[in-house]
Amino acid sequence: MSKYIIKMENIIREYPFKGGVVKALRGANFKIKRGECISIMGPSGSGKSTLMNVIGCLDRQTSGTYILDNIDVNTLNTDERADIRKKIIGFVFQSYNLLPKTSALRNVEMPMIYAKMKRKTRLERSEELLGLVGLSHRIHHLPSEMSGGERQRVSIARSLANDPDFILADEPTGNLDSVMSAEIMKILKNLNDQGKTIIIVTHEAEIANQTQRVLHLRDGIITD
Amino acid sequence: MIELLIESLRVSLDSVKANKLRSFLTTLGIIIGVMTIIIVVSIIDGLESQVMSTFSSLGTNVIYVQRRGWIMRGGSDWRKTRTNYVDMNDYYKMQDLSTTAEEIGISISNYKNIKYINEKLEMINIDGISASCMSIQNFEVDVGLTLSENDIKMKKNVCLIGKDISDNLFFGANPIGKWLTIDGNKFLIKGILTEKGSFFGQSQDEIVLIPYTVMLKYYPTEKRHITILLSSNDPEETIEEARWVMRISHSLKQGDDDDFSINTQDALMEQWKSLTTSIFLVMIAIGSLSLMVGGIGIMNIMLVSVSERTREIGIRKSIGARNKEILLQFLFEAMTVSLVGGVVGIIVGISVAFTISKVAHLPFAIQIWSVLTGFLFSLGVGLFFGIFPARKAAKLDPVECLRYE
Ligand SMILES: Nc1ncnc2c1ncn2[C@@H]1O[C@H](COP(=O)(O)OP(=O)(O)OP(=O)(O)O)[C@@H](O)[C@H]1O
Ligand SMILES: [Mg+2]
Repeated sequence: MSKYIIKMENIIREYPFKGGVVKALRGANFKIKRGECISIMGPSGSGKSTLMNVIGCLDRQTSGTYILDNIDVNTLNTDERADIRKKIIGFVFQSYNLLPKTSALRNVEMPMIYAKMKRKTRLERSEELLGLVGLSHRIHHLPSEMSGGERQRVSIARSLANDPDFILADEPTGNLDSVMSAEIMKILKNLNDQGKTIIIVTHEAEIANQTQRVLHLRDGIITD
Repeated sequence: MIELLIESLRVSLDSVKANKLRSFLTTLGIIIGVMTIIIVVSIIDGLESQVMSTFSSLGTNVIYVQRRGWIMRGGSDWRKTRTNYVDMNDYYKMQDLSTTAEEIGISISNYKNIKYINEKLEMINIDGISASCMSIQNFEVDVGLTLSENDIKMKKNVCLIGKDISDNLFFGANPIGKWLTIDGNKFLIKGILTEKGSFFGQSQDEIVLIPYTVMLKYYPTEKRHITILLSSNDPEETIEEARWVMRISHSLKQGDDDDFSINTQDALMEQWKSLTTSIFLVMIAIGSLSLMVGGIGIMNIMLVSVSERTREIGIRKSIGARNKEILLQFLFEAMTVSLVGGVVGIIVGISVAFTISKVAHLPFAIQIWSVLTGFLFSLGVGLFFGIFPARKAAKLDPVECLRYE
């Protein structure tokens, strides 16, 4: 097992746009160690979400090498990338991205359905994870029946469902007030204490300062 | 895979429940299509068994020589075909020349008013027959005596009455030995016929049989409107022979068309079969068309569903769903909607078929294969028309989906 879970070399991501191109990432060069809690910080439009999509294997870079856990992600096909998202990465989004009209319990259960876990195990684990984020009393609630902070905690529980190697959080506190933000950061730091690698994308210095290391992204360029 | 199926089923049932009216309208085509198939198959089946049983009650292998044909020959207008009377001379010729017919009979049909004391019945079928017709036409005497050769020869005013006549004129009293008035003339009732049931909705028991000689005595012009009946063990041979006899009797030259008709139940049955087959085909075409329309409706609603749930697709992909799993989810959903329509169609179809059979007094039967066809067709339609939207959903880019508002 490599010491580095993520290695980025000269990652460039261009979007075709009105005949020309938009360079959202002009060169990302950094490494992230296993067990780190780091933040990627940058102003709006600097390419944070773009970088996060590449790290999360949701998007492909235009050029450059992305080594995730000793695998060159660019060589993987669509199904293999889906499997990486399922097993190695846990996503936490700014807008929660929970399935609507679906209970907290089923939302947390969903990644385990795709991982083909047994129903009994799934239900036990979902309850356990919701307990971990302090939502034992809300397991049958729908997202629409929960506060923003509660929804974000459900999404953290969901990100943990298949015991991923790292959690990728894009502005996890972006829609929350300071009390709720502190709550979410506490949970993420706890997870880091238990050995999970945490990557937080944010434009807020207050949030970035709570992590062990801050990477600055400016105009699509980032180095460590 | 099973888990995914259950999951997809849950998701699709949820969305069906959430959009009840929309789902109903979507599946209307499927419902109508499946319903049509079930109803048509059931009704035609009922008619078929009804018709088969009544055909045999008419007497099988009977050949009817008449002026007019029962069925129109393809293309030729019967009005334009020259026809001539079939009369007593033809009957005598047939008796002289036929060697293959088992029995030869004559029947002269007429419609007259009848009465007994003050009870009257109007326009009752009076058949003047020869004694041989009793066996040729499967008439049986239930109570009393039959028409004898002597009755015919001596032109006796005697008659046999059908069950309906007995019921409607005598109300349970014994009619035998009573005098029935037919068009002003009195006839002695000798016997009551065994019930035959109805044929194409027409009772065969509302009938009075008298000697044909008596019919000719009162209505001499009817001698030009007779039916010659032949029974035979070798119908084909007898048909050919009857034709030969008739051509001689009508002095037709070689090359002249027949100016008479030889009718058999087989030919009628064939006509009936081709009629039901074409009704069947038309209805199946209508059924398929509605299934088509239903399928397009399903495709449409699934495309709407895919775009409504773009974000959901992105979420599912981000947590590890493979493209194939997204495809299956939407495919199962299309099939569920379609199948629900199919099942509703089957249930409604069976109920409607049952009601029709009760109203029309037909035997009721539902063929397993028609239910199965409805079932499989609705599944197939869901599969066929669901595949395009499902593939569209599967191919969506997760980043685009997650950005989608
Ligand atoms: N699909 C796309 N097509 C064209 N340009 C794009 C696309 N996605 C992003 N961009 C551009 O790439 C740049 C970086 O976008 P990105 O969403 O990564 O910024 P961000 O740092 O996440 O900003 P924010 O903090 O506002 O979310 C922007 O200039 C944006 O307009
Ligand atoms: Mg962003």
